[in-house]
Amino acid sequence: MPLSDYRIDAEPFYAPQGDEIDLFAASHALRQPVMIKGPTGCGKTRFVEHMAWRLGRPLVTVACHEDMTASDLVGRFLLDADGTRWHDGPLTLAVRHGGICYLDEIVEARQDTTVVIHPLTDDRRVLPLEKKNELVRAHADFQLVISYNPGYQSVLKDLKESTKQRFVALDFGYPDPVREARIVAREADIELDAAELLVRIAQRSRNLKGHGLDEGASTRMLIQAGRLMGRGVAAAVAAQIAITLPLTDEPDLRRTLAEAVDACL
Amino acid sequence: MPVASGQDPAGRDPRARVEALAARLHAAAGADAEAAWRAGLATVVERAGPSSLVTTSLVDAARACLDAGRAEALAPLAEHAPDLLARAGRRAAAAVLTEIPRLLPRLPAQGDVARVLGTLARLAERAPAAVEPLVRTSPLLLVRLEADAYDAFVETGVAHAGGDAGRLVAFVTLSSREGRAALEAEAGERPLAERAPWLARFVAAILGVHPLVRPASVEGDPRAARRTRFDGRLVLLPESFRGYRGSAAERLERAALAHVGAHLAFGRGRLDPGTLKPVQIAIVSLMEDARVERLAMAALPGLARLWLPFHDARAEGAQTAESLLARLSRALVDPRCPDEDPWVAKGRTLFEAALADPDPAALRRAAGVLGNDLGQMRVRFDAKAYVPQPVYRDDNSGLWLFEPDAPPPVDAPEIAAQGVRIETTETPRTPPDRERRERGADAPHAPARPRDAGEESRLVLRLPEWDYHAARLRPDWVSVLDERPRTAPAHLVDRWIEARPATLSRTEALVRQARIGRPKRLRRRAEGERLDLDAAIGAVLDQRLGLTPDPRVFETVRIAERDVALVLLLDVSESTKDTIGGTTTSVFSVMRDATAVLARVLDALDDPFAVHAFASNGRENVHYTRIKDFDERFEAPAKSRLAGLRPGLSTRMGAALRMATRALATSRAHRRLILLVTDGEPSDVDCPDPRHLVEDARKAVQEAAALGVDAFCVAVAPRDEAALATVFGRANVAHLPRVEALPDRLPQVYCRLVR
Repeated sequence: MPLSDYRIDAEPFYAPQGDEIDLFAASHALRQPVMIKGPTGCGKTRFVEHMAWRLGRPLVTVACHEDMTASDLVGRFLLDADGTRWHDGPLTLAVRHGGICYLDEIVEARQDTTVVIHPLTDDRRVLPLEKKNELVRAHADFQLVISYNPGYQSVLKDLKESTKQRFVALDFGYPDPVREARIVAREADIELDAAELLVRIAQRSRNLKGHGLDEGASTRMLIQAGRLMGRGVAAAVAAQIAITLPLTDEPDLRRTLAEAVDACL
Repeated sequence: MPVASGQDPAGRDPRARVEALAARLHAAAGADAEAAWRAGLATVVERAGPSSLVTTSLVDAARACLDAGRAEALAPLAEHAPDLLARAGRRAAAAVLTEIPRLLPRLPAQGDVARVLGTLARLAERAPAAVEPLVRTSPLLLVRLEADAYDAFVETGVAHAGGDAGRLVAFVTLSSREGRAALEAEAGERPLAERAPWLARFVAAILGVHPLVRPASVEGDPRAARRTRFDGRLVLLPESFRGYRGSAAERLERAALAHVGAHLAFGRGRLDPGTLKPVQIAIVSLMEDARVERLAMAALPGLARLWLPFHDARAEGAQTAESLLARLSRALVDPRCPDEDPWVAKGRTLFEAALADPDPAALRRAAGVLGNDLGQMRVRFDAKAYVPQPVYRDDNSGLWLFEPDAPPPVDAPEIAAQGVRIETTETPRTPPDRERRERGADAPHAPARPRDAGEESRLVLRLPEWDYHAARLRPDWVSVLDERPRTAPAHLVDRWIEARPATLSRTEALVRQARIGRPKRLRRRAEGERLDLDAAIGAVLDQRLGLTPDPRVFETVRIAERDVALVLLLDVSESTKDTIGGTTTSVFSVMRDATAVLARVLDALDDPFAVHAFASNGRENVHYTRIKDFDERFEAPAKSRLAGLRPGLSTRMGAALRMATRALATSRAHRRLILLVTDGEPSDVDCPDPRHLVEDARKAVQEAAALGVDAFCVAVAPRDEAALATVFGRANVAHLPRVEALPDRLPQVYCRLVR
């Protein structure tokens, strides 16, 4: 089974914020392409992992970047001692053998790269491999999922209209404070009140979004800070090295953040 | 006052007094100090007479210093007194000597008195008329400034006034805006206008409310400026709080803003004073302050560390209304503070009960009871003199619908005026990269967009200037008039160009040659349009040998595009009117012809470039002329501006370089160049020190480099080559001993730079 490495055995922890699990399951039943929007570190990737596990599908993840070419997705000929050999790219793998292909931060990829997914995302469900002269018909279990963060993308980096309109979208945000504290407490393995403190700090930084910060502290950051606290690092120090310092290099903003953190302690 | 009398109160012989002092000094500071003191005194006596005001002032000052245990101050007093007397006159010298003993508490360190006297003596040399006004303001200045900063403040004033005594006096007495700004700057604090956005962000971060923080004007109601005031989201913050400086002042400002933030976040709308008496209004305000702070501290425990240290009211002393109210303030927010006073204790109990009561009127009822109690205790409350305690609290006017004796509400015109100012002046800023522009209106250094400059509109910009002497950047020091210049018929430019056919064709050939980007083959690529034959053969060879071949068998072609943006910056100062030896041609006209030729060629080849010119008449009058901007062609409008360009005035190079840097800051070109054509070193009418503008220009070049803009200089028969080498670096200056060569050399320099 070529995709066995991509199967997820243990349940990835995911605390639902609403009915997104049911919605995703419904989309999956229809094999609709799904777009997941939300700020960084709010749980998009974790959600996809959780759904792949829940639906029992292999999950092929590709982190997109701006130098990515279409061959990085569909595959290329490689040279070996016997001549050339075709190597399926991650997208082709998922298409051929039936799995969820998850393109993380899709807008980072160049727009001419992303058009290769077009024939897969309408009723054709095929992937032409031009170089190999092959037309791969998608496996019945194949589903395409993409994620992107609408917050910090500039106008230059946006999805083409023709790409956007092929997807159903789920919009994610940071969980509400009570739920977020529970998530942080569980993932970082710390007491709930310590997690609540971290969430309060995060809210302070999210208040600064658009006032100097592009994004506030993410749930992922809080978990990192929480893990440090679990190792005995003081809350103030953990907040500094896991939240304040990574968020900004601007001295004034850093100070303002540090003062805001200080007010929470 | 002992000084004014000139008489010894004990009626003893003046000589005996001096001897007694000398003996005390000898005992306290040793023989050297005594000798210095005697020498200084003798000089003063000789010049002014033994019973003059200056002499008696000196003796009195010396005694006061000894009494204060500051024997070390006597030698500097004696050393500087004769200088002050000789340069600034008797009156000023006596004023200094009278004032020094009173300043002693403000000058705690060993050498402080000597430093301040040194500052005064140096000032006496350059601007004697300003000594007395300065010494009269000194108590105020030294509250905020340490001795070194005091000196820097005075130096700034001297530099600022540029020889104008009236301006200097206004500066040191803080009656001019510049003086107040310099005080703020030297106090080690950034101007409030600069701090305000960060204070607003602090409050936004902790409480999620977004106040607009503005400096409260110092003029106007003095009471208003002692406390913060808010009116809805608008917060007026005093420029400084008396007695707070440095980090203590910063903490106070944060505390004040957090307090207003708590009102904004937890307030319940403005209250109607109704029939409440002033004391009851004060108590309701105080309780409302405590209520919002308690709620804020419940959410953010760290705020207790910010606020509580300011509560210093103690449960002791006389029972005045002020002290009782301050103690109540403290008791309500600081549960650990013991206060056995029955009134305060009752206030605490009533407050806790009112907090538990969901009815907002409960606080009011409690305050009514407490106010009546105060009345029955016959404690007098002076509503006019009352200021809420502690210092970080606001003046309460924002809590009430109207306050009978309140000064008029924040006047809108002031805010509007500020808006206009923001619109027409740009403060220096880092380049507006795209992210910043997207951040919204109050982003740091948000560029204030100048209105579209029409043909005749003048735009005033304030730029900083580097003062090497003080080693600091003086903000908003230079005013630049960014103007569209006079015009003249455009065909003149074509005529000048055509008068130099040989130069034109040489330039065209040169620039075109330099421009043609040769296509470059990039071999051994993992991807590319075609096979790299050598690599492919190698790969097949490896295959046959049974080795793993290198997969990089492609090649691709990339045309290396020249990606340059150029600002050609012309120094059109007075000296360019000079004619070249033996001809009637001026340096300026050669410079203009060279510009015309290069501009035509660059324009024909679509290279992005701008032509700007500058001249200055003091720091308030730097003329910056945009002959051609990046986004226009070198056609009739630009040509007629070049034709209309006239030489005159001086060379404030740093300001011009900063302007050119700003013009390039938005360019996306890979290489961004300033090519300055000048005939000499920087100079201006208000800068007697030739090094000042050289150092400033050097700083401007460094600032440009930090922003990725390279500055080069073509020096046409310069008088001072070393100065230009200092500014640009020796390798970045092209010297042209023969002015006539400029039209040919300028394109060469350009091509060399862009290669």
